[in-house]
Amino acid sequence: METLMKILVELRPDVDFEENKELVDSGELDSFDIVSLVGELCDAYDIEVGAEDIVPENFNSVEAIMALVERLQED
Amino acid sequence: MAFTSVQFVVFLLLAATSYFLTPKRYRWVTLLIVNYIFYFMAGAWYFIYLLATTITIYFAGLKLGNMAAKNKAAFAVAKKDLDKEQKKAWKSNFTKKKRRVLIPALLFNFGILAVLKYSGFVGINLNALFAKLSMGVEIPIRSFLLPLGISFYTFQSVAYLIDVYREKYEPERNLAKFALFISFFPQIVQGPIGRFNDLAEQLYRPNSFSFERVKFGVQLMLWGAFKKLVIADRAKVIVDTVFGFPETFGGTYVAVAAVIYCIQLYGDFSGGIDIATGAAQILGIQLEKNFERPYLATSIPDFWRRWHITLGAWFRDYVFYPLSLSKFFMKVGKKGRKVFGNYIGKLLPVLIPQFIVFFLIGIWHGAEWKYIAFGFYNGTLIVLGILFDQPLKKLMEKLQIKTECFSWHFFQVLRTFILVALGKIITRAPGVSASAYLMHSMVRNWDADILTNGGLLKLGLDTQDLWVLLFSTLVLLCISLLQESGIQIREALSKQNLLFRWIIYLAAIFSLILFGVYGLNYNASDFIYRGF
Amino acid sequence: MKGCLKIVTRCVAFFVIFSMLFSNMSDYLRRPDDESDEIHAFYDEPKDSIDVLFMGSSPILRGVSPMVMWEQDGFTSYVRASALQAPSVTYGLLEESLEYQTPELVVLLCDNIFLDYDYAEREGDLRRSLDGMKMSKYKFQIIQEVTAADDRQTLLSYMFPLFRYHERWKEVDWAEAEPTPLMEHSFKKGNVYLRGGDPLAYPENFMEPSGVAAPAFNEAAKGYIEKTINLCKEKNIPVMILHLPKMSWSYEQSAAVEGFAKEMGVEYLDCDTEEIRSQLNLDLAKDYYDQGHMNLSGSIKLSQWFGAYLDNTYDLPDHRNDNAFQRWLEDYQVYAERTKG
Repeated sequence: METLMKILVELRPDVDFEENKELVDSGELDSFDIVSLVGELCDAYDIEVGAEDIVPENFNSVEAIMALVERLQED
Repeated sequence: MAFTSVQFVVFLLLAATSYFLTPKRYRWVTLLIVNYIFYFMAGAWYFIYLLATTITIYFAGLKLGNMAAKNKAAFAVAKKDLDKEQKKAWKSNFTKKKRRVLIPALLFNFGILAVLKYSGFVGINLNALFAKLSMGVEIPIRSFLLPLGISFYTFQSVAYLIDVYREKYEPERNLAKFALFISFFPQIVQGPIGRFNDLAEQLYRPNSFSFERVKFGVQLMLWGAFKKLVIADRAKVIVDTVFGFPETFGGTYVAVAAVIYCIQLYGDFSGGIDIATGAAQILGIQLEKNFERPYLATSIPDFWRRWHITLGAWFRDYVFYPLSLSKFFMKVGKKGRKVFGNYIGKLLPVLIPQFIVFFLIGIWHGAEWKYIAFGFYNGTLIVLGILFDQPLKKLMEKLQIKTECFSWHFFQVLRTFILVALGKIITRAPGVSASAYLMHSMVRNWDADILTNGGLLKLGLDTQDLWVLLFSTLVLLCISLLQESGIQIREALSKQNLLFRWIIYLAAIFSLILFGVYGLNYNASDFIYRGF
Repeated sequence: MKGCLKIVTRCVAFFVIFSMLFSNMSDYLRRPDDESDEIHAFYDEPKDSIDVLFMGSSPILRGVSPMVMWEQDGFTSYVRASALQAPSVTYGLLEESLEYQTPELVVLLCDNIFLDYDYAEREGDLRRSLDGMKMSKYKFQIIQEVTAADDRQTLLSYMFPLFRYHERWKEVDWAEAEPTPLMEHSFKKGNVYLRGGDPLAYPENFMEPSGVAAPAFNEAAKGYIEKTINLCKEKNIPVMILHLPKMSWSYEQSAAVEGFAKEMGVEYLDCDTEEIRSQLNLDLAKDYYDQGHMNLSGSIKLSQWFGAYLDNTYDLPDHRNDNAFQRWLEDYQVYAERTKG
């Protein structure tokens, strides 16, 4: 969780990741942010994220992103 | 059948009546029949293409769904005995199998589109190349009439297939229902491109008649017709005049025409979408939003999030993400960081796919070099925007420019609009070199006097028409600003007094009747006796 | 149920207000046209009160004055003609007219039997008569024929001319504009006369055999004229084919039309023959508007002669002392007043 927060804050210092639960739906994160974020996640957690995982529900909040990472780690 | 024709209104009336008169269980069947009648009326031969796409995508989807179900069951049993590596191997093995179904289906459907849309373009350019190399070969060129809405229904059904491939949802098992999903008549002509998980359920369920919905639908259609007939078709006269005679109208005329072309294009396209959305709403179906006041965008990426939204989303989900998340571009990113440093290296897997997307959006608009140039122009702007994002921010901090105020926002909107308008010159000019000529002439022969000395009257509209164009565009702007500030026009209107509402409705209808550009031009001299 | 009733009531009310505004707007933006007015005022004549119907194109519209004949001979008549009228329109107009009137005689001017009528070119001329007609199956048939030949013209714009003239908001001076609905009653009974004109001279060898064959009949035109004549025959109404003075006429054309009339078994009267010309005694300097049309004074001269001819030949009734025709006496007063001097 801490690693994730670090990545996120580094990526977008201007976004309040703890409070915002609609990161994608509200337009805070755009497609460029998502791709950069996924790149970081892959390196940090040694996972593979496919295009099928890129749905708003997986990136709307920090918890959702963490859940995605955990699911992919299990696979 | 044009959306602004009487035939369409009559068709919609008959379609809605027969839909709501059908027993609930069979309403979706009526809708399918209505769609097919609509499509058939556009051209009987086109029907074959629609059927080919329907059938191939349906069966491919079914196959993928069945494979996924079998795989899931088998994997659940075998899971315990597999270690992580084996699981990975199982997965990639299965993906390979699925691709053997997906890829032929994609090739077939995009193949049809490519042959119909681009074979002429490719042929002409190859012939030009052969001639230059004096090879003495010439490919016979056939140009095809494009089946109605082929780009839209192909994209919509391909999105469905890829989603089934990604196991986002189960495939549709009823062929007739699937046929309904990709043939809904209001949206097959020019979108919006619907997603299966959003649209299909609305089409299959029995929608009941609601006066409220019909009213809102009709209002939206009237608004769409206003944008199309009063604004766009009037603006078209000026645009056609200037771009039709670039030698005569240089300088400031180009700038005027570019701005008016922006108005025309938006009025025409979003007007059509509003008519489609309104028509669907009458039947109880909510289509996806396709425009969100694009000319109020603050940046080029923002513009593309607001213009033709469903097409942008399609390219994002089915081209941009798969490309930028592919192993290849991940590697490019890693290598890039070593070569260009962290900042640019990280951007490479975003920038290159973004460029590819804009190239594709360009040729999606048409098989001509100018559309490729248009894609290139937009891609370049976005890349420059990203590359200079950080340095500019630092610069602005140093110069102490406030960004949280109206003037800055206004500057951003204006800047974006100008960049967009320049891009529109590329697509509207007859060719790439013509647009270069026009832009050059615009800068070199700038003469703002034409705005006041009656020069505008040379563009095919008389004073009264110019006033109507100006006034109706202002109405459009005001409505857009209200919407941008979060007001929902139709909901707000329904809360007003009856008298006020009816005045608005009547004003809308009569401004369409009086100021709409339709029918034969009224030319008094046509009615003067030519011989008794 | 109550809510449903409210919605229906509101929709009906809205529709009524809309229709009223629409019709008012149509009257503001209508292209004012004498001929449409005259075509429309025909509906105001009491049923079966007209003895003679004059059908055809501009020479009869300009040259025949029912009022002159009424005053002199006492029979009632109406000119249901318009400039450059298509034979299909003439046929439809007659079909419609016979729903309202049962005349003793139909006089048909069919010079346009030689004309290849182009519906796409002649929208303005079509509208002169069609805009004045009420909606009926006959009008619908004409529109069908027109729109089939020219797809730029639409049924809707003929049914609701506002859709055709909507752009006239630019021409109308709104400060002084008034709604101008179609005319309800005519004092000149369909005749649209012209004043003035240039002095003319007959061409050399006018109406003498020239050895040049007449142009062939236009088949479509001939077909409609035959239908028109046959319609009258079905209803036992005698038909006369009329040709009025026109300087571009020839001996051969006259002979061709005469042959056609004979074939159809109807009377043919050519006012360009030497004999009738001398009886008409038209003054080339004063009585012509142009080569093919009488002006007002010409039309009065011609109608005096022609009225007497019809009265003698067809034994037409005299209603001048009939109280039911009081309105005709009043209309004549207006006509005399307006045509004075």
